[in-house]
Amino acid sequence: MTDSYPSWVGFTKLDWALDYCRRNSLWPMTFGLACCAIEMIATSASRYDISRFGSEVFRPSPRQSDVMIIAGTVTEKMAPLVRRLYDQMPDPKWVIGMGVCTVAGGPFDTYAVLQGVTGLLPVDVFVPGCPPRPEALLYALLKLQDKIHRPEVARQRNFHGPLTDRPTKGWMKKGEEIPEVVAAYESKGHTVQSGQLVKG
Amino acid sequence: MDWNSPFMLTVGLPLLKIVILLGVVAFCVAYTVWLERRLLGFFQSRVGPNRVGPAGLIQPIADGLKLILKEDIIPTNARPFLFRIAPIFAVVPAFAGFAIVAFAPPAGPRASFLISDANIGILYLLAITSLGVFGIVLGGWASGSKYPLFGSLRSASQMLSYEVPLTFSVLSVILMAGSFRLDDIIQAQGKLPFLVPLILAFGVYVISAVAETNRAPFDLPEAESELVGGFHTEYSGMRFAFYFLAEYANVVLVCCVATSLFLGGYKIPFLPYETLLAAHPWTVSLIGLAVFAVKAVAFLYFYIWIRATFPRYRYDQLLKIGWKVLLPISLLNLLLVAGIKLAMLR
Amino acid sequence: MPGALNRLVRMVTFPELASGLAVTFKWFRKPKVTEFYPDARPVLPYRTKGRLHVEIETCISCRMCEKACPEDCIKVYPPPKEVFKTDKRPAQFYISLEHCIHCGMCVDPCPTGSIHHSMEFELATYNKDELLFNKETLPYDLAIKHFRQGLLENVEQKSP
Ligand code: SF4
Ligand code: SF4
Ligand code: SF4
Repeated sequence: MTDSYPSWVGFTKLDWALDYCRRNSLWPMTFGLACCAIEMIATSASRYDISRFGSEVFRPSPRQSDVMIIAGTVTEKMAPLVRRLYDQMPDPKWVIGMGVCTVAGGPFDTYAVLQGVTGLLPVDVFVPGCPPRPEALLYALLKLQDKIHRPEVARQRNFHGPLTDRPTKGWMKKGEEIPEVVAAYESKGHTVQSGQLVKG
Repeated sequence: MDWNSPFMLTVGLPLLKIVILLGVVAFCVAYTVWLERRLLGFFQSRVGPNRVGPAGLIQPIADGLKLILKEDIIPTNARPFLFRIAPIFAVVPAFAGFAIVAFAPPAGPRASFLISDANIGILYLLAITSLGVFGIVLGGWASGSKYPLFGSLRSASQMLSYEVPLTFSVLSVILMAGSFRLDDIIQAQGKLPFLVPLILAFGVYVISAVAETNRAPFDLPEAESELVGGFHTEYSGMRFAFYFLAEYANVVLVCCVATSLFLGGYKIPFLPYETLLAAHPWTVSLIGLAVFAVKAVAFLYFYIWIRATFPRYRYDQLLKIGWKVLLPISLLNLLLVAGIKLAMLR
Repeated sequence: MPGALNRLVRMVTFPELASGLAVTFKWFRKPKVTEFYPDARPVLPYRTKGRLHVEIETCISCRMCEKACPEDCIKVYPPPKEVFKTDKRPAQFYISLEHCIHCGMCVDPCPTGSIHHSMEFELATYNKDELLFNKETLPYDLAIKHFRQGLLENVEQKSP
């Protein structure tokens, strides 16, 4: 649609204004699952004061909230309910995953805990930390605002590790080596003895 | 255009006034929300919304536009037609109440600062503000969910219990002034605002008005800790914004009415408005408007102060206060005022 | 009778409510305690456990940190034996912040003090793959650069 108009006409400006409104009025859901929720509460209290960004209106009902801060451990039993609450939120809606529990299960490597919520919900911003500082949550909120206003920033991917080697729980096996590293050393004429610990 | 034609006088001018008043009231309501959020922040030793625009002044606009742009969900169990129209029932009475509020002394025969100079203004006000509860009850019932139903039932009984002391306290004002017209009541406070002789009635009025507008500490219909969101649990987007608007419009209305009934409206004690008005009509009118606004904002500050201070009452405590404390006090006050009035007549 | 009178007066004047209002008004007038986070850097306490920071240059690939980590989120790849005799720096070093709980168990056993917490807490990402840190990004400066790029350009910087 925007192609048939010059860029200064209407749409981009209106989009800008509407996105400005959306990103400055992110009402979170009153929703905490575990210890991270305490830090979320601290974020809305006096010292960190999430209300400066217009986000202190913690709505009790999912129908009126815009962003769901998954603060805490998502157990297998709670997972369907989290998903249901997410489905009850009206569009446009966003999700902030707070704490390493939401990123990859955190310290709970058990049968009862969901190992990361990515399979359950589309998470927009991850906040690692156990728990993250309140400032870290504010930073995540700012990143979310940035994403709403400039979706292209979220599409830039800046990896700094080979994806194939991404560690998961239990990734450390004795004798495991990275093929690229091995190849690099072997090309310099060394022989690589796999996984050898040298006493020093 | 002929401003003196009968059509203009009966239809055109009031319509123009209504449009202007609606705009002004909507603006005031939006910035009441902003003021409340800022002040609540200050009361809690934080700063409140301050980043969106200068001093956070764009915050209400951002909130409103965002709510309008949100998806509008109608739950499966809801009765769709009633669900759609219920917020309108809430918002219309809240705005209609402003029709009889005299904001400033008239600057001329055709330049009065009120829409309808009804001689039963107070009765109209009492009738129309209690209509607002229909929107809440209808919305709660039409949502087809249990929490909204509880919230709306609570709202109905709260409205019933507190309408009585409120009416009695307003009745004592009417007794003092001897008229149902809001303008007459303001004129009767030329020397002394009714706040001083009717301090009991004022107290009853404030408490009942807080309860009537469903605000903390009497916000039982939307108690988050018990009923998820109260009567508007299932409402999203624009329809929720309507309820929001209705609540804050009611707050502004209560501030305006309290200013007119107890704080002396646009009058400054002992300032001879009538003689000044004849000399400089527009200047005096605008000064009166400013005085009214200052008084209303002061009352609004008190309202928000109450919200920042007191925790929510339990439901039985709420009804107990209404029937066992406020009703006897307001009846006693009414008897006192009637006695004094009788003694003065003798 | 004075007791009953007193009770009647208290019932009408509500002194408790007035004292409550006085408390909130006291806080209304006091200076605010809010920290203005994005505008002003927070003053973090000494020993804040932020993101881990590894000095690859001084690390001797002893893998003590890897053994100590309760979350299994460190992986150290020592160099081949021949290289190790002269150069003990790790061939690759991974820390996955997806699992790291910032407990500090890895910091204590390190014989060279190469691994320690930094004050960096702004770790939020759009993509959780970015939470894997390797040899290049574990040192402090590079990581700052990584997390700072393309961020928050349109968040107005304003003073409180
Ligand atoms: S990330 Fe840590 S603090 Fe947060 S919920 Fe999980 S265990 Fe608790
Ligand atoms: S801080 Fe704790 S969880 Fe993180 S890498 Fe070190 S030992 Fe492992
Ligand atoms: S314990 Fe210290 S020296 Fe040993 S591998 Fe870990 S960081 Fe390197």
